[in-house]
Amino acid sequence: MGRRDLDKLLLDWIIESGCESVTFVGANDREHLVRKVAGVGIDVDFVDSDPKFGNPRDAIFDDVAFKELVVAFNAEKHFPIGRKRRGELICVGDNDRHNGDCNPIEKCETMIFQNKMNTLFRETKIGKWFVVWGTNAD
Amino acid sequence: MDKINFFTFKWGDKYGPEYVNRLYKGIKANLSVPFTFTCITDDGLGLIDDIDIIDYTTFDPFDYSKDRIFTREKLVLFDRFTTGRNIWVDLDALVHQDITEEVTQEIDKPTFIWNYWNPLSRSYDWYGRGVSCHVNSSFVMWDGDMGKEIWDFLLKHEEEAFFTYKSLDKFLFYQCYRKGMMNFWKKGFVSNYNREAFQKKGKITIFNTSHITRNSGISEVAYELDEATGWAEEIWTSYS
Repeated sequence: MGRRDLDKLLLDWIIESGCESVTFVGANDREHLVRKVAGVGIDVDFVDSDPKFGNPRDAIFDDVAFKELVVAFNAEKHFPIGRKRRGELICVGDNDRHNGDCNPIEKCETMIFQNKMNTLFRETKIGKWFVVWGTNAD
Repeated sequence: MDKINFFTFKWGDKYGPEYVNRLYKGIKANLSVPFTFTCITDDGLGLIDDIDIIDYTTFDPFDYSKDRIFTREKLVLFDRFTTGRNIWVDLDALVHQDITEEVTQEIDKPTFIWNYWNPLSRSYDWYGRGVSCHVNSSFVMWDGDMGKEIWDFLLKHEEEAFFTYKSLDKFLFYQCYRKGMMNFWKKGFVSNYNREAFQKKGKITIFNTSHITRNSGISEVAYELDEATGWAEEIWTSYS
């Protein structure tokens, strides 16, 4: 199970959510997924601090207006997005423990707890990635 | 310009008082304007009388493990010393040529070291992995409240910053640099002993090794200042 399987799962969940707009956080080189999501009529914003992207923004340290659904990649490298934003979230993280990882994800429950999700729609492990979909809205 | 105020930190037992005393004497030998020299330390034993002391235990207001934003105490200087010209310098910096011209120049932002000795691709090819760092905080100069923007940014994002960053330099590189909060010394002013083949270059040489001990999988050979040989040893010991 590799990245293609993860991306297919995310596309399925995004469509299933019924959300009309989505913010991708830290997706890096996933333009193909952005195109697929946009291709089904969903408004997509791509937030990444890497200067190689146009208009680099940091979802944690900059003021970002998030869309209806937030899909946060690389949770192992970031402050939990759910502590910056209330609403529907899909979070993806791994336990590779690279040098830059401040937040290794050992299980789905870690992301559910850290992001203060009060309703869980789906959770799974696909390849090395833990993936959760839920909301922390009041 | 009034006196330049130099600051350094010494806590724990990694470095002895000779590091502080020799740093002071190295600056004195290579600076032709008046200056003060203050060591923020938990142990002032062995420091020469010309060095002022501030109690280190009063100098870290943050309630986080020391392995988060390691050496964040430096930024406290931005908050507490907001008049005149100020410079903080790490203990493992060796000043070996006259620095008067550089430290008396006009500046409009806090001035840090840019890691010219590393190829830019080293930082930018892997930017998203969080392992990059092209900023070095071993020798930093500011006037008055110039550092307030960085200090206020840390306070505003305290929880997120301490969660995310192990080292001060990474916090500075990933957040403050991209927001234009800092300037850098000109290329050639500061050199890196371990990354530049132990050559005598520039006017100040740094020996930073903490990235090796604080990260896994780095196997490069690197020497502390007290392990250096040849020209570095000769100059450093001459400051006794």
